[in-house]
Amino acid sequence: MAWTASGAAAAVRHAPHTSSAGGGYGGGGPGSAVSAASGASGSDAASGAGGAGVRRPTSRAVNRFGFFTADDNDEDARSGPSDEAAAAAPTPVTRAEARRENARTEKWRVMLANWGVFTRRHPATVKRRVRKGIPDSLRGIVWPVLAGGDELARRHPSMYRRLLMAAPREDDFAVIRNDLFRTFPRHEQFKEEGGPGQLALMRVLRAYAAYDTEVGYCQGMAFVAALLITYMPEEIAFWTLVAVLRRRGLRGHYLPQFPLYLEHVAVLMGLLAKHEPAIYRLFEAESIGFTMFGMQWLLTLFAHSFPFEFVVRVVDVVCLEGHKALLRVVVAVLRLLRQRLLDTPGHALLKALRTLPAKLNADEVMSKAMAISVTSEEVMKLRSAFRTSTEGRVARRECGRKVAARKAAAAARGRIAAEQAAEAGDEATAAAWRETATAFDRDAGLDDPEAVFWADSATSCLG
Amino acid sequence: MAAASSSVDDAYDYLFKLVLIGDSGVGKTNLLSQFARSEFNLASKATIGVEFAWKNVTIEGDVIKAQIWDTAGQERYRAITNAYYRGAVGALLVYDIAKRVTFDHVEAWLKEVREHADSKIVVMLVGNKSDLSQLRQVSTDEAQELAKREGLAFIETSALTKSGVDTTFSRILEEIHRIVKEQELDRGDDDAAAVVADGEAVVVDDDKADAKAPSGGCCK
Repeated sequence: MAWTASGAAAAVRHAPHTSSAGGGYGGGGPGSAVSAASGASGSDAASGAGGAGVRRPTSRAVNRFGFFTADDNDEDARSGPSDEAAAAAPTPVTRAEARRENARTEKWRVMLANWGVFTRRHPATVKRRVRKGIPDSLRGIVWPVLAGGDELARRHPSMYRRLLMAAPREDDFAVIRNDLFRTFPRHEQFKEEGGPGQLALMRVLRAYAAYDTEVGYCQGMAFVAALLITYMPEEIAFWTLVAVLRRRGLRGHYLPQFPLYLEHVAVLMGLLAKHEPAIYRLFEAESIGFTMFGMQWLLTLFAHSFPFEFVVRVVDVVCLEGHKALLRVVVAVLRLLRQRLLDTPGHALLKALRTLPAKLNADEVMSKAMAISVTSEEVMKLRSAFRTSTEGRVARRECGRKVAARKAAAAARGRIAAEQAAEAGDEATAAAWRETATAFDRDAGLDDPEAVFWADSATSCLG
Repeated sequence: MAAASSSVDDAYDYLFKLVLIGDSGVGKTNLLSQFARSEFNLASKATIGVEFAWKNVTIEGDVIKAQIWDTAGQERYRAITNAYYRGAVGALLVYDIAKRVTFDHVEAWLKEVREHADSKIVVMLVGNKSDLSQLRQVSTDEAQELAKREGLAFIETSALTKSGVDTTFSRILEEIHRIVKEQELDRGDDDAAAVVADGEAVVVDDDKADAKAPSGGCCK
């Protein structure tokens, strides 16, 4: 399996000073995927040199997810805004929880060893187990499998390397560079400026921008990419990012003009009106728009400012079930905040919506979320209602215009690159570009079929 | 995340809505956190969409509640953030003195403001990161020149050292306050279409509806 080098990420999360549970995840497993996991969890922080590379030794405490825990004496961590505390909270694991997670891990190992058969025969069991939370030591293996990133990686063995040779749009690349040290800045792996974690993040985002020229880079994606990078080697992280965006119906969140994001906000308002009418009326009465607090919920899969243990649970279900699961989680979070919101005076509502997440109980939100009935028909109906509205029409028209311009620019860059290669007599490079273009073509149509207008992307351009 | 200050509940005489705009990474979020909470966060995260903070200040005996919207700087986010210009009475247009390209984009941001904000909006040009003087790529004179040409106030700040930060906010708020007072005098105090004291209203002419504009299309 390609990602046996995942030691670094796993070791970070199971650093010795985090909890008594850390050592419990080791042990052999039958399948190759499982072996990779046990190898990772067997190492400790000091030897975590695979994948992302060697890190500076540090004596600072991190929680089980690799975030530096808040410390009063710590100059860096001084009185950050509340959301900083969310990811940085210590995540103590009790013996009972450790036992439960170990038992769960065992079940998953058995399931993974017979994955193909198991998913065919017992899809409901897989779904139930994913919703209960994937064991953290196996997320790096399970997420790519669920979303389809491992399959894409196998189908395109050398494409990631080639994508890294492509010149990105300068404006995209400038924003990527700016975001490297502003994505999980308190995470062990991403803290060091120009360190291996940030470089891996840069490469994954650059490759994505080259792969999907219509989207390129949109702020918010870095959090999703970084989240994946903490669990798996960068090439698998790249393909899993591709899979989550394209196969799980989230890509349109990041397109110019945010057409799918706007549709999903309209869907959410429809869902709120139905499932949480009191909150819906409150938002109407107080003129609270979803974007005022929730754009980062959707675009970073909650990773911008929610507790990490909650974020990974969201990613669990999104990898399997896609955007619909994400929308349910949003409704569930609001449902959980209902009383608090109704008791809050209007002028303090936004503050309440922004400061509460640190107190969320992941199990509670997830079970609430999955109990909310959301049908595909319902979602489609609300989406098409928005599409035919003036705002929806404008968004789609503007998106189409901007995407066309981006394509033209990319094509121009591709032509220049081809000419340069030809002039230099570098046939190997020229062939690589051609092959990449062909691969893009093969990938057409991976996207959510109903999203026709942005379905045919990532096919035509090299740069 | 921009948590509101504790003074939210206090009574106020005027509510002024400001927006912070400018390229990604110029320091908008830290300018705001220095002003609102006297905090600089070395490990701050990229702003996705919009964030906001409140702060109450007193000008000539009037309590001003400043509601400040911070915005994501990436160009494509303008499609979302420009809805927040409506109802704003002031804009801080921030660039990075150590990054030429962020200054080169000032004109484009101005165009954006003029397209989407009220015509009377007070715009202040802010050259941030003045602590990076050895890396300076935009001279004070040049920025001053641009500000003069475009009719903007201008200041240099360092969100890191807090140099100029309080001055920036107090200058723009004082300027808005002065304009509001003049309007009140011109109209007579009880002509409240433009200015409503103690209320939810904003100061620009287009009445309360505009205060609600960003959320009116709650899809934004």
